[in-house]
Amino acid sequence: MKSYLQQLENNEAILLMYLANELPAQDRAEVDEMLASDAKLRSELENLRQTYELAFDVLESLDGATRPPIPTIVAQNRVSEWVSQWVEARRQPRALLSTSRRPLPWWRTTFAAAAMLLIGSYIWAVYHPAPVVPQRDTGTALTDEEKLAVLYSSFEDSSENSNLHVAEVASEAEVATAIRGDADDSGDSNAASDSKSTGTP
Amino acid sequence: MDTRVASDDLTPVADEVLVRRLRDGDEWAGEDLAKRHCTLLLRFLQRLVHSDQLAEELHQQTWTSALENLDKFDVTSGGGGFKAWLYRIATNKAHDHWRSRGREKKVKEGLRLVTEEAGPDAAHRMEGAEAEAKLRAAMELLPANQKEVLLLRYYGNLKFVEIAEMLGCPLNTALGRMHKAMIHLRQTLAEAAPTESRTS
Repeated sequence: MKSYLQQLENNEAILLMYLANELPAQDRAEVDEMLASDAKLRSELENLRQTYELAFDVLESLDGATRPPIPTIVAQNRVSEWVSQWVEARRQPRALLSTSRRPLPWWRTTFAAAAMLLIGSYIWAVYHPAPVVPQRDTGTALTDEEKLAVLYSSFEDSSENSNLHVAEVASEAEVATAIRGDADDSGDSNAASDSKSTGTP
Repeated sequence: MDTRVASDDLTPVADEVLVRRLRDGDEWAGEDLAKRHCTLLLRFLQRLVHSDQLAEELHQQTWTSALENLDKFDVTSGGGGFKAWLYRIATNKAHDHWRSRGREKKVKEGLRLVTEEAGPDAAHRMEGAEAEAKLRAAMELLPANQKEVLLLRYYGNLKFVEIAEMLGCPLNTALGRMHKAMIHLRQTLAEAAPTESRTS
């Protein structure tokens, strides 16, 4: 137990702690020694004891002479009532909490996720504009005239359908490339078709 | 040392055990706590604020606040346990009241009621009890911080270390206030005595 004697500032503080029996045993023994050898300190202690008793006498007399603000039984009943209300109120939120925080079964979550994915895929499939790529028969080798005919026809188709901007751009590029190929008249047709198919200029 | 302290704590079960039971929903534990502490707490507030009506109001606020914050009370902590915690709440409620209304005004009102004996609560008190009036006046003339320590010691039966901790002041300060309160009371009563003898 820590010593208070070093902390306490003056005799009054030490003696009050002594009177209140709040000093550790070692401190108390030390004060006893001081009291035994110091008459003035003993007198101080006696004076303090009387003052302390007087203060408590005042409070005791007042309590005896005056009634409490409300009768004791009424006060106790009121507090008991508040306690009951508190206990009751405490039970209700817990009950609500236990139902509201109950975890969902695993299959519900899985089903919900799958449904969301399906709906999302459907919406994407319906509303997403698919790029139109010109169909090309890669199975047989076309002559240059046939290629031009296909390209022009696809160009016309794409011009008619102004919404298909991607196809239009691709067709224009292909026409230009084919025309350049004719002008050069150097004909690795496979290399030309490769570059067309990848879309690189 | 005068071992007299106002006490109605007779049951052996510790307050902290009752608090645990109350938290678990045991109403009887709450009633036990009420029986142990409510009367003295009410007296403490009555002496502290000098008004029966206000004491009653603060008493209710104290219990309501204690119940609302019961989960925050650490039953394993030292520092006086539940009783000290309860009195701390009560003291804080009184401080809040003084702050909101203006402490000086309240003190003046309290003094006026004492001197004129015209308060609404005075009807049931002993009429012509001059001694009682003087005792009350002596108590009410004490500075609030001194009176707090004295009342916490008497009604709460709290240790000075606990009182210091509760009021947030050093132990020496709490002891100094207690000493001054006692001296102050003695002087006031000594000054009142010659008047009494002159009038009699």
